[in-house]
Amino acid sequence: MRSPLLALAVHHVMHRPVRTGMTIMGVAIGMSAAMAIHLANQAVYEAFEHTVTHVVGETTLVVTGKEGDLDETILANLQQHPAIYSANPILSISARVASGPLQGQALVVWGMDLVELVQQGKPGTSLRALFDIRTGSPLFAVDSLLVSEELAENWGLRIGDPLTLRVGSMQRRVTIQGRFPLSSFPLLGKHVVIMDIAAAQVLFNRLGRLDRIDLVTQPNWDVEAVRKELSRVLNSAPIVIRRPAHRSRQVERMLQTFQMNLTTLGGVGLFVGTFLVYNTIAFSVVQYRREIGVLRAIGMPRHEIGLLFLGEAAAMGFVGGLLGTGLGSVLAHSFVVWEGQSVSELYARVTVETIPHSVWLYGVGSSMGMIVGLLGAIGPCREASHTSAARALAPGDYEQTQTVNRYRYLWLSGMFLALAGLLALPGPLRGIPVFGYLAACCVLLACSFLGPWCIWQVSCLLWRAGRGLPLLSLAANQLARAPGRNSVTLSALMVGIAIMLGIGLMIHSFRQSVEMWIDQTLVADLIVAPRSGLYETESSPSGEVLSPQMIGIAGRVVGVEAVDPYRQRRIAVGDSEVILVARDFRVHAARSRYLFRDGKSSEILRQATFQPGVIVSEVFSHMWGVQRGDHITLPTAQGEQVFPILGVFYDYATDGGKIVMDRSWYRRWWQDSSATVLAIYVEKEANISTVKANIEHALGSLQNVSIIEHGELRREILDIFDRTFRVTYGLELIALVVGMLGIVNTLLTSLWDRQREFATLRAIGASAAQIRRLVFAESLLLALLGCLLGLLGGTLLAGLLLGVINKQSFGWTVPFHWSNFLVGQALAVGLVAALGAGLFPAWWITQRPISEGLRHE
Amino acid sequence: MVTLTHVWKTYQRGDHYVHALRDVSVHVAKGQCCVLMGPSGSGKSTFLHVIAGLETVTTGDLWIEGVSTKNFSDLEWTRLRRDVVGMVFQAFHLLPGLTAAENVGLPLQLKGLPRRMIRERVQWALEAVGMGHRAHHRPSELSGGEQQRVAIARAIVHGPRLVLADEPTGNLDSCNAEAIMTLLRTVTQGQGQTLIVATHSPAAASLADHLYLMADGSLHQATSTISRCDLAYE
Repeated sequence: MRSPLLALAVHHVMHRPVRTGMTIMGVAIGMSAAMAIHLANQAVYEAFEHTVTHVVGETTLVVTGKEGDLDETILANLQQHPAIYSANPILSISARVASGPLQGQALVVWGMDLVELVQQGKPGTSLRALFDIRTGSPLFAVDSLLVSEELAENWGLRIGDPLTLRVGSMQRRVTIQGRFPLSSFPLLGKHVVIMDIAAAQVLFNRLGRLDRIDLVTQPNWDVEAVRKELSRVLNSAPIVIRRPAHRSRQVERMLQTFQMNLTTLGGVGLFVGTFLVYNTIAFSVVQYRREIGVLRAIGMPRHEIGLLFLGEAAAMGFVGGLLGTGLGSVLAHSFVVWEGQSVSELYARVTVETIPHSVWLYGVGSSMGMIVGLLGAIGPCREASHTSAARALAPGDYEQTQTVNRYRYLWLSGMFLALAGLLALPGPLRGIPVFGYLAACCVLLACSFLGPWCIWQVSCLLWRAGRGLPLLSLAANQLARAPGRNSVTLSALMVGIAIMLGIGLMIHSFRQSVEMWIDQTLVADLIVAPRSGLYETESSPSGEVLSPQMIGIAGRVVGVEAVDPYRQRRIAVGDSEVILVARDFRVHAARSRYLFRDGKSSEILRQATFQPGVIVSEVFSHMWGVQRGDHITLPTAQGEQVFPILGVFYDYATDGGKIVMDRSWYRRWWQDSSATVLAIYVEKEANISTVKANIEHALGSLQNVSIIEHGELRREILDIFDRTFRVTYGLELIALVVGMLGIVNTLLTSLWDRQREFATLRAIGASAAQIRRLVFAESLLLALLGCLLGLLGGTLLAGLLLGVINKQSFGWTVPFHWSNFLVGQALAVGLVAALGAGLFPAWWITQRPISEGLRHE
Repeated sequence: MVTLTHVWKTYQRGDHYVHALRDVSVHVAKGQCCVLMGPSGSGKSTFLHVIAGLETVTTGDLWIEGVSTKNFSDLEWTRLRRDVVGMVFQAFHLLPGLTAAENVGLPLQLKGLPRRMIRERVQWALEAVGMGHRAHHRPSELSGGEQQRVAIARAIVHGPRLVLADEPTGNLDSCNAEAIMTLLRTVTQGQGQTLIVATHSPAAASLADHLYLMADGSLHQATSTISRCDLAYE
């Protein structure tokens, strides 16, 4: 014989397949979002790790010179250190083809120790295994060059072909001696060619000099400890030891934060799912109140009554979790494409090939679903186990009203709000804004706990307004009659709206700031960059530059009003690398500005032109704890120099630090007159396209350049921005759909409870349409309240996201921008969702036989 | 006023059929008081529900004020209930969230009458049942007898030509039951309304112009005065 408890639970679940299905669906949708994000995060992270290993090889540390290149004598010291497994010297030389059909094409010659390369490979690896070379090829000869198969194919190069390269004023003739598949050297860009390092040093007059040394530390050594130890041991040498850019803690932290933001957002669906379970079990308790009374009357203890309904919830959660995991795995495939693209654009190029799958995953998913079910069912189960047998069995008990201590919830709401405020104060934990996320949870809880009080106030208001209007009074009464049930629905909808609005306002504010930043600081009409700059890689971090000669030519092109040569390079500050930018402040100040935290842009820039000084980005200011008026020591080509900080500016171009100085001071201290890009201002009367063509014509013979118009650049930046945030809309939708299911559930519960009321209305002359309108009115009332609370929650959430979470994650100050459109959109979506949710219950109640409703207890 | 010809109401319960009404044919004239008596489950409530359009007939025809309801749509039934029929229930069926006055005013609001007119009619109906002083009380604040008076006021407030009362005294003590039956009869008689009462209270029989007995879905007219008196004093 089956256990009576099990038999009852099965009966409950099977007796109402639609509601059971709806709840399972709600949990499944919530779970699918969480699971898809989890799987995609895992896949993208693995791909990221793979990419990092692929791009920088096994390199764990990179040694560079403080003021340019470094002396190769240091190599021996490093190779002898017990913590170092291998040390690979690298020479990186930017060159262009000087003659022939490929004239002007840019490439980077990478000098590397070919012997060391073979020794580090798998046992038995030979040069022949790595390169496609002819027998007896003079691979170590001074003019031997190896090119990738891809480049050889694109440029039509064959083994034995000669090539004349120009490096600065030098011209060198080389011969292609071999080819290699790019997949063997993924760390190389498409336009990078290889030479033996000794040959490269001789050929390009760099004897005894290196650009960097790639270190692979012993596997059992802590990389950070090794870095510190080497920095200490080699203290006297003018070098910087850092982690590779792609492996930097900054990038890893950024990726971690990015993924945590997504995980949090994905968890919202599950959070709302618990509300749905609450509603379903609450409905079950209402529906089987008489059965509870009978069971209690025949001696079933309270805890078994509670267990009966907990079992139902756990079963629904289990099935929902299982289905959600399956659905999540499917969703993850499309989700991972987006995330991979965003991570590639923001941090490092990744290619995700597989999404992890395992039976274990389904176990975790179903267990999580079960936990969601049990959490959601605690309240109704408590209510069920405390139901009085006498009341449950008494006729007319359907009129009983739920009592909720609204002031207790109001107090709780205030407490959580205060807690959110306190949690917003501390800084991040290991770079993760943990307290910020907790504060966001507290805000949502505070708004949820406001529900019972709001419901009471609104129903009182409606009650007063509805005097003499019984239908309005009925709707008001319905709100007040089940404050617990209605509050839970309200919370579900509120969370959906708050998330939607909060993230919407955050993105809107962010976009407004970025647009303002583009419009005020990137106002040049044209941006000229060397084409090889597009292929900037770890191997050539500074990329190819534009010579002073080209800057002069560009300035003389007809229609060009002014040229702002922009030189960007990485320099070492302390233990880290930051970006140093040099530009013509006079040109910039006359036409554009920087968004300074305090102080007037034109005045600060003028000051920075006439006296040696720098301006730093807000992120740099946070990272180094420096302010306007402080001083900073920078390693220049003339040795270390101290510069005053003249201003701190907002910058959304990089999440690392940035230092900017006037070009004249940069030229003086670094002896470098080249530029990474040229910001070109066109005369007012001139046609931009014509000027662009003129510049292309003037510079094309010297070097291959890319020219981007301001509009294109603006579009590209904003496109990346929009793509990055696109997925959030999908996640908001999930929270909203689950919230909508919550309304359907609540309405059905309420309608089931009030069948006799509706049947009476029908019996005294109410039409089906009037009943439907009443149901819609109630749905709308709930939605309006949910939207209003969502508005409050969303605004607070946006404030937290902008002022705490993003600030701690990325270091950017993003001012809050209100948007009436977004608020209107969130309200409209909430109301439409509520009306949509009211459709099925309204139809259902009018399909019930009236006579049956009149008999309903 | 109401004519039923060979009306059958059949429910399917699994494999077998239950006949709630069996070939019922009856005519109730305008302004008359008709009382249906019979044990529980005999089909009295179904008879009233069929007349009010709360349930459809399986076969046969129902005529109200000379109009066949055979092809009535849901809207036509709604209009009929709103304009022609008033109903009183055993369990009162007052809406707990509304005051007595609001409960009484509901049928008028459903008809879309102006607020002033609703106020006047509600006041009249409550006065007619002697509940004018309890207009702003909620059902939970009223006794059973008072609740049923409010329910009667709700049934007559919109001036229906036909009042159907399903066990109106079933939830009341004998003293209240008699008072309610007398009130119902007096109020409807004063308005010239037709009243059909389903009850198993013998006390109601004495008020009837026509008395019918219902057993197992079949309707029989109790014609002799003796049988009425027997029923009345049984």
